[in-house]
Amino acid sequence: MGLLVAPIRTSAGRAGLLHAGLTLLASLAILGTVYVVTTVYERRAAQDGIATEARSLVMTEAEGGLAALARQINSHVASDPAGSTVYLLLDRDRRVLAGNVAPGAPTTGWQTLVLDRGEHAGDTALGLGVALPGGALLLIGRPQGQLEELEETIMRAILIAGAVAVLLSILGGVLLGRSVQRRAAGMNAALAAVAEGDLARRLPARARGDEFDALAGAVNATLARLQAALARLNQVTGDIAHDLRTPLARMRQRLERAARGAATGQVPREVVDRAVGDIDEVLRVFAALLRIAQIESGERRASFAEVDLSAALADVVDALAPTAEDAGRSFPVAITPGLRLRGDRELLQQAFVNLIENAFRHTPAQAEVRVTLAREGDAIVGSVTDRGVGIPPADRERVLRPFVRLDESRSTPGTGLGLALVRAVADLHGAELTLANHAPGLSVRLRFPVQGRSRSGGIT
Amino acid sequence: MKILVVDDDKETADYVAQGLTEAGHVVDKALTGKEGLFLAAGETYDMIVLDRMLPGLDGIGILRTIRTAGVGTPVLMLTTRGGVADRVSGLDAGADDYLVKPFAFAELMARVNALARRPPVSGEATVLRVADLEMDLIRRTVVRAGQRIELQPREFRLLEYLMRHADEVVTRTMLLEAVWDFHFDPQTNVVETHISRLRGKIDRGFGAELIQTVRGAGYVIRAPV
Repeated sequence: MGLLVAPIRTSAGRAGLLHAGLTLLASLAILGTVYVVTTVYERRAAQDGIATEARSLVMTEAEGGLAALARQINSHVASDPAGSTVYLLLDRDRRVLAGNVAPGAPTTGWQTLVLDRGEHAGDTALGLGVALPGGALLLIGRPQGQLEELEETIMRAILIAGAVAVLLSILGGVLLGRSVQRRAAGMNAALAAVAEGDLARRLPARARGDEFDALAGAVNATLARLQAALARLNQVTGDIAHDLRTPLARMRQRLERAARGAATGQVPREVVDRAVGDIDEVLRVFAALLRIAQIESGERRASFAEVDLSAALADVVDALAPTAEDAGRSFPVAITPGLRLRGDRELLQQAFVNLIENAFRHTPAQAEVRVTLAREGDAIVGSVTDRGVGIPPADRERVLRPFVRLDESRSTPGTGLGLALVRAVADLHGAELTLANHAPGLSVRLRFPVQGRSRSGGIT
Repeated sequence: MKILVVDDDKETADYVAQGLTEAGHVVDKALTGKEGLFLAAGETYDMIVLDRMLPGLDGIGILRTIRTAGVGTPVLMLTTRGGVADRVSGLDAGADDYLVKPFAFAELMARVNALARRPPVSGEATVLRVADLEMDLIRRTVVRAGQRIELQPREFRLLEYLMRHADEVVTRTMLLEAVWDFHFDPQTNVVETHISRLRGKIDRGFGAELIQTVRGAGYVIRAPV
């Protein structure tokens, strides 16, 4: 019972059983067809033989009369003592003229005869009755023993072949099930190792490229992405801890000093104010992190609306221009009016604010910062270009990550999250963010594909 | 004013209540949504400071209930989440303003004052006046001591907001939201720069300064005493 039930529990076992069952059905169908076709063919061949002989005997009668026919039959009977063909010739009054079988109830047409002599006595024979001119009747028959024997032989062959087919199909099913089970077990083991924490473990995949390999490949790709994401998360967690330690440590020192002051009744207002300032810095980092997380979750895509990017950017420039002007900075702006896209106005504005503020912060006060927005083919491209020292090519991908601040900029204020937010906003809008050298300086470009015209898909 | 503060964090509730009491308001505290709803529906308040996230019955639920019951008391909603969707759902439910935790007390105070003195929608003045400064909202002109002053559109909006809230402290964040529609915090001193330019136009050369800086809080426009 267990042997039968066990394989049904696994899908591999079920597949094996199904395979065996189907193979069995197919073999039965083939063998059955062979049986039917062969027996029908043999029966027809026997009938043809009888009919041919009947025709030849009828011819004899036509040439030499009943007497010649009777002679011919008698000579056939004499030369065939075994009685492998039976004859019977009756005259108009149904008297026997010749033959080697007892007259039953002979008629014309195909009929079954019962043999009463010879080695086939007791068997039946396939007979054909032919009416001769003048009312005589000729019967020719052949025992069906041969035919039955043949049918038996074929049936035996079918049973043997069927049995072999059943055995082979069960064997095949079991082997197939085993192989499926083995591969599934391999995958299970690998995934169990991953679940235990071994994120570098991958599913076994062979080069053959069957569906198991495809599945393993897909799972492995997912695992690789997960591993990378976790590594990034680890990195960011470390960075957060590191970046927050500094203001927290400062705050602790200040509060300790304040506590000493409290003992003597003297807490300078400035100490408390600075501690509040430190806390604000920590809170700003958290706010920026939360915002990036919220953007990356994609939940804001639900509130996307048509945005006049030209107007939105013009407002940003309008807000920041006086600061540039006060610093004596050249701040040329070229915005093509009326450029629209689907997006989140607030986030787009914040992204441009961050880019422009970055340029302000990392270049000398009087260095030029140029802002442009224009249509380029099937995209809207915004750019912020400065004439500062630029970013070395090797660092360009790195600065888009949270908390990455190049050593040169460690001394300037900022959370190190500005560009990470820009990147998150770009990703949310399916935009391409590129940093390029401007010799000297840096050019940051945001390229938004515009829907409708020849938009190349696959941008997420 | 009589103000109801609903917040499940006792420390925040105490902190807000204490600050408001020190500012001369009468404050009731509620630490649960149920208690908050009970008080908000039963008593008459001039203002409700309502935390959005409360165990059981949350701030949005309380707000909907009292608004459905026809209570029109101004509500300032507090939240730990500052996303656009949160802001919109809070305002949709009937909040009058929205403040993201953690906040400086000055920010809360300024918003409470702004809400309390919000003028009725109908019968709005078309001319705003602070001392000898006059703004004509229809002709879009600004005159001080009989002298016409030319302002950029953004400067006009900034001054209009200050004058609509004359004698009240308005914070940097309030100005960013109202004048620039920026619901994030630029690192650049956008507000300071614009205020400085505005001062250059309406205050410089007129003797008494109307726009005053309130340390650690924001700005106020008021007639000199």
